[in-house]
Amino acid sequence: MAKGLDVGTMNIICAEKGKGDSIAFAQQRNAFLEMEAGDLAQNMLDSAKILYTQKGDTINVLGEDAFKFSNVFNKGIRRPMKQGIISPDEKESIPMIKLIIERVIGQPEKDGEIAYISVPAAPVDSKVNVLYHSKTVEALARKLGYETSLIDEGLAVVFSELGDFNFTGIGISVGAGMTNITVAYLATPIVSFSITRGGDWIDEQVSSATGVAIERITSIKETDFSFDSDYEIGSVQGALALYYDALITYIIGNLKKKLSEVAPPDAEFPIAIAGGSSRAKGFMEMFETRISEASLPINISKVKKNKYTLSDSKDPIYSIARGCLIAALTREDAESVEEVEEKATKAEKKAAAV
Amino acid sequence: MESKLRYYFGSMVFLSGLILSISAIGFAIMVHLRRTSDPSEIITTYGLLGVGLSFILLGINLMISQRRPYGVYSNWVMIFGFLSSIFGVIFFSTIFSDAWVYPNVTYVSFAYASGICLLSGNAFGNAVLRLIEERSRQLLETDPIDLYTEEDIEKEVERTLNESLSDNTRFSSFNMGIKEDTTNFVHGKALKEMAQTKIEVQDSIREVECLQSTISGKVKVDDYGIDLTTKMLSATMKQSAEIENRKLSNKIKNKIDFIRR
Repeated sequence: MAKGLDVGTMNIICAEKGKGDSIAFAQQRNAFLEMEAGDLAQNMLDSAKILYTQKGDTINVLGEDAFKFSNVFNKGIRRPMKQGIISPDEKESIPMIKLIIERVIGQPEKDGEIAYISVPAAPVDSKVNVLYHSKTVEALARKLGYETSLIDEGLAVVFSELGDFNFTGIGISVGAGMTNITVAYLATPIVSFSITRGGDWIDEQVSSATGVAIERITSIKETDFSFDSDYEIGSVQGALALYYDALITYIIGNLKKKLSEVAPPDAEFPIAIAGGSSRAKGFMEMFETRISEASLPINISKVKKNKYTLSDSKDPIYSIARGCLIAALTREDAESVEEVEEKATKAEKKAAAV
Repeated sequence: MESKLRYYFGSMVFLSGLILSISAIGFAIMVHLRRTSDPSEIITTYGLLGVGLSFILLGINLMISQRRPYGVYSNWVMIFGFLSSIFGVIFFSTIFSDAWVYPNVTYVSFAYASGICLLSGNAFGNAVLRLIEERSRQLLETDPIDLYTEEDIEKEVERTLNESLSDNTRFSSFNMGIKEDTTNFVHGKALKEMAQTKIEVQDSIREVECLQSTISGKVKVDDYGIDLTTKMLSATMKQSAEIENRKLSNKIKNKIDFIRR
């Protein structure tokens, strides 16, 4: 069965078809925390069923638990990815990403199983090249036995969210390290680019403005922040609202600039927003307001809200993995149809020869 | 009249008109024409000027006149306009100055003005048509549309749409090989024994079918009118293809093609 893999700066998520009409998502935080090894620590981690690896005198706690331990011990977590790509500053980045990818995607049911992997588009505001990251991630999944293909994060959002609009519209993935934007017309990308600002940029700016640790800012952003509320001057939430607004303005500014370089078709373009950093309550409404003020050179019909619901909140974090899965399943279907047609042609030829 | 001959004739008429008009102006200067001048001097000056202007416009009309279907109406307008203006001039020369009173003045003015308007309007219309025709001809000459068959265009569209999924154009085709794992990590108990937890969300993923339709060019629009028209068009095209195949000449052509193959 085909799979979709979203390799994000903050989360690595795999989507596959579940039982019946369902999708199964496997998710791990793309982070780890280094601790000192010892029998006591190991026993504690084993009994608490915490994912970790040991190398010499150090233990690396993986995934979500790394964040929890980081908050408890007030210790900085390590991130294998930075600004949407494999971090060049982190020496353990590739082994850690490999471990997490293996964990979420698992072994293929058959050799050559199709997997679509999301990768960032080339950034417009940085000299960073995404090719090394894309090829490394692809090679890691290929090593497991998957037949891999790469897809832009923005296009994955279009596939996931804009099916009702014949895959015409703007897919925006506001991730932790990057924001990816793709303008597509009938599933074909017209403009695809990324900007090296996302949730992490907000955290860094708020942290340097307020003096609170980045991990704490991330935690507040994810659990205790909403655009709809009023916050005191000097509060972390107030600074978060300010930098979120700056990020939205920056995204729209770059989109406008990129759109002015092309001649998009005369059609209505809805906007779909996904990614973990768009989870904040009121983000969509804020984006809708800013986009209506921007006067883009294309006709924006609406800002589409995400369809997934986990507990009470709409969760746009799975959109990219879902888009990758849609692309993978489409290719799988197309290949199976081709196989059937090929067999039928061969049978016809045999019958004609007889 | 042949168009080339007509063009030269038109240019001659235009030149005559220009000479007549210049002569009129020269004559007016020579005789120091004013309100109290002799009527014969006024008639000569304005007669020559009137006829000259009509000839100029007639010449332009002849040079840029259109062929059928516009040409038929254009010629009638040109003739009527010229006759009307000449009538105006002749009428002016017969009645001036004894009967140069209302309503004769109105008749002269109306006849001459309508003639001039018809001639100039006709010339303008013909010039615009000629410009449009010229532009279309340029486009036909420069546009290499006839170099591509419908099949080529369909293939190109299909290729572009397929590439949007495969992305071979933007991603390097180089595949990085990875050696066997040499890192000496010891996996923790949970990492070895516990299966990855998964969240299941109810979702029929009907986008897969839609995406297949979109990339193959078969877009579902949920519009009864379009569906019906498409079916009717398809049936008509099928029918006309069958009729074409039934024609004897086509049958022979098909036969030859088959033998060639």
